[in-house]
Amino acid sequence: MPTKDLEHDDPMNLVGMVLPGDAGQVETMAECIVEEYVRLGWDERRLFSLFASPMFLATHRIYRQKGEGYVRRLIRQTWRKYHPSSTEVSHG
Amino acid sequence: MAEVFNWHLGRKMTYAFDEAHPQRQFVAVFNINRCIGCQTCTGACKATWTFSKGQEYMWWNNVESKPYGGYPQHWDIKILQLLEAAHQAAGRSAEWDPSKAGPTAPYGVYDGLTISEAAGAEEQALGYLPPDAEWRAPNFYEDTSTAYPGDRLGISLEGASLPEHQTWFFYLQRICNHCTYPACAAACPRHAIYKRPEDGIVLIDQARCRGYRKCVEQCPYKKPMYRGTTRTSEKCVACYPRVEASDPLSEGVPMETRCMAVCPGKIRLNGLVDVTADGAWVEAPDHPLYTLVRQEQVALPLYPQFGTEPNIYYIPPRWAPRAYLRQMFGPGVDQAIARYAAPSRRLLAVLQLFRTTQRMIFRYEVEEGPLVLETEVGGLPWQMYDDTAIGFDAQGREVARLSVIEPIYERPAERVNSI
Repeated sequence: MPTKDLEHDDPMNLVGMVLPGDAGQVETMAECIVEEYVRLGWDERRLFSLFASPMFLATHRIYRQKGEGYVRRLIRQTWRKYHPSSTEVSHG
Repeated sequence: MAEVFNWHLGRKMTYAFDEAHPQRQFVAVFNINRCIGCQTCTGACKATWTFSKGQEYMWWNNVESKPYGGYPQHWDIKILQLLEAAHQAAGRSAEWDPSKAGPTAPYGVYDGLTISEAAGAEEQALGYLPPDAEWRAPNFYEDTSTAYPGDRLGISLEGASLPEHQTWFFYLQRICNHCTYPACAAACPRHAIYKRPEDGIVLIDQARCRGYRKCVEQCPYKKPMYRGTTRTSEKCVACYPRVEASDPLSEGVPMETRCMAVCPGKIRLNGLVDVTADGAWVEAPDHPLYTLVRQEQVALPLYPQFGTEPNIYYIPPRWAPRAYLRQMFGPGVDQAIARYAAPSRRLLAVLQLFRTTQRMIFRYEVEEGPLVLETEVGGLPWQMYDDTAIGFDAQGREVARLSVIEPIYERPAERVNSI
């Protein structure tokens, strides 16, 4: 990487602009993604790793915005809905 | 211009060539709901087809973040703006009439202009040529870069920082749509682009191509790409050696493409559907793609209003605003999401077949299993059965067998990447 500073008209200069959202959108997204993977049989340990890893931006952004407690509660709640007879939510 | 029937639009439309259809059509369904943007498909395609000099900026398969991402940048916004301007100039509006839905018009009738009908006198289709800068950086400004501790791979010890989007988003997986009425083929002054009669795959004849880039300009999905070192255009070839079963791995039966076969999220299902002489899909209720696209109608074409009848279908994301999705996938969105969210027994079984085998599945059966769950989805009762989906290859051999409640086996940590 070059060490000199970027000039103001350099098109590769990162300029971030936030796209605003409405309340509840992130939660809806989180609920749908969790339900998809719970239906595929992913347990809490496996599914939580998708949220904790910065390599997966969709889930990781939810994790950073909503926190670990929210994500774990959502996974457990969804797991219980689709596996009501299972006594075990987390394998990890 | 000739008149052809486009079943996505439910009506006839103008096109450069007379109506002619392949015996079979290369088709795929992508389930957006499951995609986590890992880009494994993108890497597999790159490593197979576009790793050479002059192909550095070519991504025949790319995954972009909607609503703010695109490769090339803003491709769909730009073509939608051009189409909107054409409607305004003609005093028309781009509207659908879903009340006219029927067997030959599953989404109703589109009353607006297609890119072919909106084209100027000198062109076959409405389009634009993206400047080099818009091809340069796929996923530019899409993923939110962040600082995190470097791992054993040494990635991002310092990180960069950008403000974070606060809205919904989803990943859109894109390859060439191998359209029924490809705008690229219509646009080519050299007639170098052709659609194969045996599988409907659209290819560019490199010997005929002279790099005029009319295909790049007029494909609304921006999937042909120019290669400076050969001065020709190139595009996704649908991994045709695998589809033809001429790849040594295929054992004589058609295989899914590389991008489909590597997907860890199990979001893709690829195959060949039989097509009649008038372009309709041959009724095949035991074909998984027919079930998804024609029977259950949970998988929809991308921007059907462009009028090219694309052959990659998408199960739309449940969480995105409906108005946005209707613009992107047409008026079938609400029904598709309702059916996908509370799937029928048959649909739930077919969804299990995604990414279970590299071989294309030509037929499936469902063995009924016990009731395992009674719950509510969207406020309505919904029951889940542990049925078994069985897939068969082109020679009728069983190649996949999965139950709805499928056990998971994890690779041991010491061999986690031993493929």
